[in-house]
Amino acid sequence: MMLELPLQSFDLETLSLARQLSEIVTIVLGLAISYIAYRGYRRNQSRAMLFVAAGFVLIIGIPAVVTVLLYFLLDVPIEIVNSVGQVSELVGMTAILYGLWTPRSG
Amino acid sequence: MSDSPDVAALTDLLADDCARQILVETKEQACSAAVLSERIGVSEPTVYRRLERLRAADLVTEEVQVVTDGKNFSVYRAQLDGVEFDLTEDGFEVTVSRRQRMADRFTQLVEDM
Repeated sequence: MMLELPLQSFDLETLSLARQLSEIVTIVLGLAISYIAYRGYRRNQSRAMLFVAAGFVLIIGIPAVVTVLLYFLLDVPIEIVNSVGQVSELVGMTAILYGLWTPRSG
Repeated sequence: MSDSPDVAALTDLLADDCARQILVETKEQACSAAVLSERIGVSEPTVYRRLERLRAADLVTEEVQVVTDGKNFSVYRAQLDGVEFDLTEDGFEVTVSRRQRMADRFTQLVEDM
């Protein structure tokens, strides 16, 4: 395989650290988008944007908080932690979809 | 974002000192009507009347500030970026350019879907 060569020369610890950092960047970006959506809701009295803002928080923010809280602090099994995160993501996706579908505020 | 609103209505509105001052004061930072009244030196009802006209022409935006213990109040911000008048054979054509913030563009994107 072509892929094996670069992978072997890669330090797995560095990779893991890079992954954690990119995870944090993703969370920050997601929350930034959520904040812009919230500002849109406030500035334009747009209900749709409230759902979009909430959706991004539920998809990215809540699972992150849940993981840190349950897995790292309370030692809850990872399967349960992931399930909780997944439910949050599902609700978030639904919220964004509803926000896109909801009639215009005016 | 630009359109051609009624030339007379727009020039009439911009001919008003108070309306122009409101636009100047709110260009960089959002102000409440009370602050505007104080800075421009006219009564609050006058400020509100001008704000209403400016809002109808889409030259200012209103944003509600939520106060946790007390009454919410609105702050206003100039949305106008510039006005361009063109003389054509059919009369004047006005192009109003407005500043659109990221949050507003995002809102428009979502609401237009």
